[in-house]
Amino acid sequence: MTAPVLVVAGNQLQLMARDNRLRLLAAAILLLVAASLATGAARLQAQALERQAATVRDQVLWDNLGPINPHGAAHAGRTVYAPVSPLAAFEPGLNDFLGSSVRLEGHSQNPSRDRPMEGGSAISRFGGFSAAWALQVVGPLLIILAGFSIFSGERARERLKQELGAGAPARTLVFGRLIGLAAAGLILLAAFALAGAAALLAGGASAADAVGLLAITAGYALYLSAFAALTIGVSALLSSARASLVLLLGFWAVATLLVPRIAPALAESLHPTPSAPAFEAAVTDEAKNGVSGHDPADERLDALKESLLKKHGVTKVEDLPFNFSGVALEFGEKNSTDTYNRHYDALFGAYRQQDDVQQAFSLVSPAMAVAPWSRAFAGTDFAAHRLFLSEAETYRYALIQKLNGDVRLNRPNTDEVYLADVSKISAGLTFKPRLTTPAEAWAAQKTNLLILAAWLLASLAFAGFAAARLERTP
Amino acid sequence: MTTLIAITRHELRRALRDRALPWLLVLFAALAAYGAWNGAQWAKERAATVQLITDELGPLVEMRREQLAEAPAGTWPFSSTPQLAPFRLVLRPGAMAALSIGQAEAYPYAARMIPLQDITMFDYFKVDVDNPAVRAAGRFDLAFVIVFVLPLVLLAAAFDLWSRERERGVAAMVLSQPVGPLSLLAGKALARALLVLPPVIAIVLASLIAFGASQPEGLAATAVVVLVYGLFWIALAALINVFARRSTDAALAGGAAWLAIGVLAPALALATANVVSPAPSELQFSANYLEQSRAIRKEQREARGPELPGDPAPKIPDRIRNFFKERTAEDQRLAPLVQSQLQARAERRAVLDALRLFLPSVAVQDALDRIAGADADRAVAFQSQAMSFTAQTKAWLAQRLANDQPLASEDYDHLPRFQFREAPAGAFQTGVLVDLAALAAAIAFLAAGAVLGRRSAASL
Repeated sequence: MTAPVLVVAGNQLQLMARDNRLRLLAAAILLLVAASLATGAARLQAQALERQAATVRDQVLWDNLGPINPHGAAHAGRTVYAPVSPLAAFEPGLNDFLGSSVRLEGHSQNPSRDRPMEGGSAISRFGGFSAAWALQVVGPLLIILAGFSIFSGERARERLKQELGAGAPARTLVFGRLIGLAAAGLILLAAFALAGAAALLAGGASAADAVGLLAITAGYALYLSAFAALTIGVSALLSSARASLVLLLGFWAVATLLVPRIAPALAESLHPTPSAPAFEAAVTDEAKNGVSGHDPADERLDALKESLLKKHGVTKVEDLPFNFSGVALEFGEKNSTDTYNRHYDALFGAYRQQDDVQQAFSLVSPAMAVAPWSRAFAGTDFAAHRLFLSEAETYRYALIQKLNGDVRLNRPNTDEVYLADVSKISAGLTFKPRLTTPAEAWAAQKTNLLILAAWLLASLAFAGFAAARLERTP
Repeated sequence: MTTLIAITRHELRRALRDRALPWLLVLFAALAAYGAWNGAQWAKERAATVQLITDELGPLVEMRREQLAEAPAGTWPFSSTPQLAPFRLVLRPGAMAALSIGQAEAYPYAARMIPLQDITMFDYFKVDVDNPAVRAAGRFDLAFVIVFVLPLVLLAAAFDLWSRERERGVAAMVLSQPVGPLSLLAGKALARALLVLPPVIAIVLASLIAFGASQPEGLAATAVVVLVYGLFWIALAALINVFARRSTDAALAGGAAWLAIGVLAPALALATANVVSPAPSELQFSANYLEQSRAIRKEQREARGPELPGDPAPKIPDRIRNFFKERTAEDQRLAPLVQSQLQARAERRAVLDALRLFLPSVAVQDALDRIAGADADRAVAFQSQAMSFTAQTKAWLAQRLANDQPLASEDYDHLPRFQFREAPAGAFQTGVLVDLAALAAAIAFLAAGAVLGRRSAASL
C-alpha cells in the first residue's frame, strides 16, 4: 500500500502536469536549453579546432626559425593554447573571460590573452545563457511559479480545510506536495542532464567528464530541492497567494540576480587587484631592485661573476670554460621568474580572498555555492585555468633555460655571431596541457556542497515549521 | 482629452496611497547609488592606469636626454635616432564614465608605440590581471540598475493597472461610465508613469552627479533614455492588462516578459549570432600575421646587400634608413591581411549592433554605453585614430631620415602629439538617436497591440 505522503506527491505532480502554463513554460525552457547546448557545442568544437590548428602552426613557425641566436629565439617566443573542456557546452563558466592562449617568451610571464569576450558590442553584456545558467536562474523561477499557490490563495486554503477536515495531517500534505514539487524540478533537471550527456557524447567525452556531469547534476538537485522546500514553506505560511508570490519572487531576484552581481563587486572593493600595467611595473621594479628594493640584480650578478671567476681560478669571463653571457641569461631568467611567481602568488591570493567573500554570500543565496561547484566540475573555473597557466609557465621556464643553457655551453667566447637550431635544442620539451580531474574539483569544492546541503536542510526545517503552523491554524 | 486628464488625476490619487511604492523607490535609489559609485570607482582606476601609462614617458625621455648630454660633441648616440621616439597613446574614460562600464573592458585602451610600430601595439592592453570570476559576474554599474532593475520597479508599480479592478468586480462599474477601455488604460498608465518616472529619473541623475558625472548634455541624454525606456515598460504593463483578468496572471506575465525581454531574447540572439556570424578568429589572424611577417623579413634579410659606409658618414646611419624602408615595405605587404581582419571585425560588430534594433534592453544598454563613452564604437575609433597617428609619425620619421636629422634634446618637446577626437555630436550622437528610435518603435508596437486587443480589455 502506498504511503499517504507519496499519494499526495503523486496528486501534486498530476495537478502540475495538467497546468498548461507550466507545461508551456517548461517546454520553452527545455527548448532554449537544447538550443544553447547545440550552439555551445558548435562553438566549442570550433574553438577546439581553432586551437589545434594554431598549435600546429606555432610548432611549424618555431621549427622554421632556422639558424638563430637562441636568445633571439627566446624573444621570438612561442604560443600555447588552453585545452577545451567538453562540459563547457553545458556550463561555460568563466570561459569567455579567460584567455585562450599564452605567449611564452624570455624575461616575461605573460598573462593569458585572446579572451572570447573581446571585441563585442552592447549585446555582449547579455551573454552567458547556458544550460547551467538556466538551472541556476530559471529553474528556481519555474519552481516558484509552479508552487507559490499550492497552499496560498483562497481556493487552495478552502481545499486545505477540506483535506484537514477529512483527517489528512498537515505534515503529510506539506511534505507530500513538497516531494511532488521537488520531483517536478528533478524531472526538469534530469532532462537537462540527459541533454548535457548527449552533448558530451557528441563531443567525444571521457569518463571523467561523465563523473563531472553527475557531480554537477547532484549539486543542482540539492539547489532546486532547497528552492522547492522554501516555496512550499512560504506557500503554507502565507494565506495570500499575492503575498506568497511577491515574497518568493523577491527572494529569487535577490538570490539569483542581485547577489551574484553585488558579491563580486563588493569582493573586489574589499580585496582590490592591480591593473595589468601596475602589475607589470611592480614586477619590473622588483626584478631590478630585489624584494627589499635595495638589492639590485646587477650587483647580484656581479657577485655571481666574481664567485665563478674565483671558483675557476681566472680573472676574465672570457677565460671561463663556458660562456658567461649564458650564465647571465640564466640568472636573469631565474630572477625574473622568481619575481613573477611571487607577484602572481600574491595576485591569486587576492583572487582567493575575493572568492571567500563571495562564498560568504552563499548564506543569503544558494546560487553563490552552486555556481562555483558547477564551474569546477565542468573545468571552466579559474582553478582549471590556473592549472593551464602553471603548466604553461613550467614549460616556458624549461624552454627558455634550455636555450640559455645552450648559449652557456656552446657559444664561443669570441665576438663571432652564434647561431643554433633551436628546434633541435628544444626537441625534448613538449607542452601537453590537461584538464582538472573530478578529484581535484571535489577537494576544492566540498565546502560548497556542504553549504548546499545546509540550505536544503534549513529549507526542509522551514517547511516543517510551516506544516506545524498550518496544523494549528489552517 | 478631458476624460484622460480626469482618469489620470483619479488614478494618481489612488496610486499615491500605494504604501509599497516609496519602498520600491528607496530600494531603487540604494541600488542606483551603489551602481554609480561602482562605476565611478572603475572610472577612477582606469584614469589612474591611463595616467601610469602616460607617465612612463617621463623617465624614458629623461634617460634619452641624459644619453644625449653624455655623448661627446659631434657624435650621435643610438638613442638620438628618431625611430626610437617613444609615444603613449591613451583613451581616457569619458566624462559620464560612472554611468556604464559597457564595452570599455573588451577593447584596448592604450598603446605603447614607436613610429615603426604595427597593429600589435595594442596587444599588451588586451590583457588584464583582475579576477575573471568577478568580470564574468558582470559589472554592477548604474547601467545595470537601469536596464535590469528599473523594469522590475515599474512592473511592480504598474502590473495590476486594470486586472485588479477586474478581479474585484469594480471593472463593470467603471466601464458603465462613458469611457472607453483604452482611454481608461491610457490614463491609468499615464498616472503610473507620472508617479514613478520623475523620481526614478531624479534618482539616476542625482546618483550620477554625486559621483562626479555631471556633464549637462550627458545628464540630459541619460534622462531621455531612462524616460523612454520607462515608458516602454509602462506600455508593456498596460498591454498585459488588456488581456490579464487576474492580478496574479498579470504579475506572472510581467515577470515572464521581463525575463524574455531583458535576459533570454538578448542571450539567445547573441548565441545565434555567434553561430551564424562568428567573430573572426584572432588566433588565426595572429598566426597568419606572424607567419607572413617572418617570411617577409627572411626575404628582406636574404636580399640585403653589403652595407656601404656613406661619405661623408651621415648623422643617422644608413642601416636605419634601410630598416625603415624594410619595415615600410613589410607594412604595405601586410596591409591587406590587417585590413581584411579589421573589415571582418567591423562586419561582426555591425551584425551585433543591428540586433539592438529589435531588443529594447540592448538598445538602452547601447545608448547608456555611448553616453558614458564606454561603447565599442568609441574604442574602435581610438584604435583607428591611433593607427592614423602611427602613419603620421612614420611620415615624420621619413622626413627626419631624409633630412638626416637625429633627435636632439629639445626635439623631445616637439614630438607629434596624439589627442583622441570624440564623436562630434557628443551624448546625442547618431547611435543614441537610433537607440531612442528603436525604443519609440517598440512603444508604438505595444500601443498597436493594445488597440488590437481593445475588445479583450472591455471584457469582464
